[in-house]
Amino acid sequence: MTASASPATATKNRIGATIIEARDVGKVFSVNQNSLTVFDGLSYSVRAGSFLSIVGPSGCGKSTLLKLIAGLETPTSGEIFFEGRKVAGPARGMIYVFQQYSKSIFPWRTVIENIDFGLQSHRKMPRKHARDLCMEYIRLVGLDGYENYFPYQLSGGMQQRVVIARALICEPKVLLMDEPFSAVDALTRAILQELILKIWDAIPVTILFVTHDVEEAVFLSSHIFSLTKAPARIHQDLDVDLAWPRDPIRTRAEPVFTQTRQKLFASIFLQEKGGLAGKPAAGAEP
Amino acid sequence: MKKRWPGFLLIAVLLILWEIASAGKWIDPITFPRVSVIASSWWTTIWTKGDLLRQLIPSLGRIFAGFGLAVIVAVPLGLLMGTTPMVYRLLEPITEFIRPIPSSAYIPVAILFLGIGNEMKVFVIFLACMFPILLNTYGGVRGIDPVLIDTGRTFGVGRLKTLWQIILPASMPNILTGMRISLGIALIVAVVAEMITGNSGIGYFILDMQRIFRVPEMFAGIFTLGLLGFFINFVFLRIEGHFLRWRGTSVET
Repeated sequence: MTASASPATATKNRIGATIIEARDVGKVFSVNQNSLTVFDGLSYSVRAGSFLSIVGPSGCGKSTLLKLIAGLETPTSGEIFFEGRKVAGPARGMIYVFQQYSKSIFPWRTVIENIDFGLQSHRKMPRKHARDLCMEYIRLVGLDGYENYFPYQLSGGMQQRVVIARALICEPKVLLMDEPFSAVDALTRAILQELILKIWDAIPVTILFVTHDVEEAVFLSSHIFSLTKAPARIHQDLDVDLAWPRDPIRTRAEPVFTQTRQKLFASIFLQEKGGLAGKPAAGAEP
Repeated sequence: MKKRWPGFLLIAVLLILWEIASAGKWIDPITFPRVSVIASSWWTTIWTKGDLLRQLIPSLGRIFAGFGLAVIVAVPLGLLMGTTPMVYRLLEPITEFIRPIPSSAYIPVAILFLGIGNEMKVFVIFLACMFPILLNTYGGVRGIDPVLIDTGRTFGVGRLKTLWQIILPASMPNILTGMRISLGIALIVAVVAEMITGNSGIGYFILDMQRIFRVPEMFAGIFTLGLLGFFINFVFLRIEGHFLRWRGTSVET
């Protein structure tokens, strides 16, 4: 559970082979007479150990992309593979962290009982051992002393930590996070960002992170997909060339950070605006 | 429990007014005997002679038997209706048809095939208690946020475990509401059934005392019902508060 001696090199060497692969994925939602094509022939691959953020204009299907990987939604066409096996229903080894943490947490369970739910769903072990392991994850997310609190007694940021710990105790290979920090205040968000980077650095997990916040994506990620409006394509697939470990102050001051953020923001902003105006706004890229 | 004294004070004031009005013959002291007379006959019937107590016990037995059976049947059925569309489509019309019939209307039918004994009364109480629990359980299950169910799915939890560990606790507030409504109904139906069949129970006791014109004893029986309802509700709120302590709105202690 402790970070390696040299996180910078560890992070560089951790990116491995393809762990998730989508081939020609299509997804159509039908509501009454209307149908909405979210994806049409979308292909991409994700490499093990990476921290991949997915950004794009609102309503472009970022969450759907994650739910398809998680097996919570079924693609209308095409296939998704996780470690070479086709995804059909929720797959072991991947845990989805919901945007609405307050709806995903079990309000009738205390902090430790919530985390124990994750543990029990994946491993059977003696009670005493289970408790010790739960406490270890409680410490990892910085909730020591709160193990016997009920969710209603916790702040939003703390509830989100519980939900993250509950997912991590399953030792997932892939963590699918859907705008996990969008509903907490700016300071809590910065603290949770640091926490998730610390976790990503300490354990060999691949994180797919949906966010509408370009800044957050650049700060956290090793890779970023930027999606177009629905039916969404991957507009940009870029590596974030920033040093590890990321520092909340210094990293944000680097020229590469600003440039990457600018580039991503421009592409999303123009899409969003173009969509609203019905045509690309004046001064849009050719 | 603080801030409740004004309510109890009002009860005390009304009882004192009743006592004075009856003693001063402003109201008919035969129809409305003095509260002190009622109180002393209450003590006699419930304790010294014990005839009211002897009638109270079978009533309580029926109420809890009928209510208990209803919980055992209605909660699993409600969970099944809420989770399985097929079962819902099968049972929903019949539920909607039987539900609006006042429970006391079953009594004549129940007498026909179960007689006037205990079975009939327990059956009628059971039937009356079924629907509030069934509908609330079912409603609770349907009201569960899909995110909660999807959370179970992403952790790879099976169907039975989802039912036991997610659906049941998530609908517990509604189930308990249904149970509380049913307990009130059980008391009503028990008294009505006992009055109609007239062989035992507190309902029978009240009607019997009225017929032989022992008015203080009749009031003693009625007040006993009031106390009983109050006590059952009090105990139930405590139980509810324990089960729902995770909501942070438990009963005052």
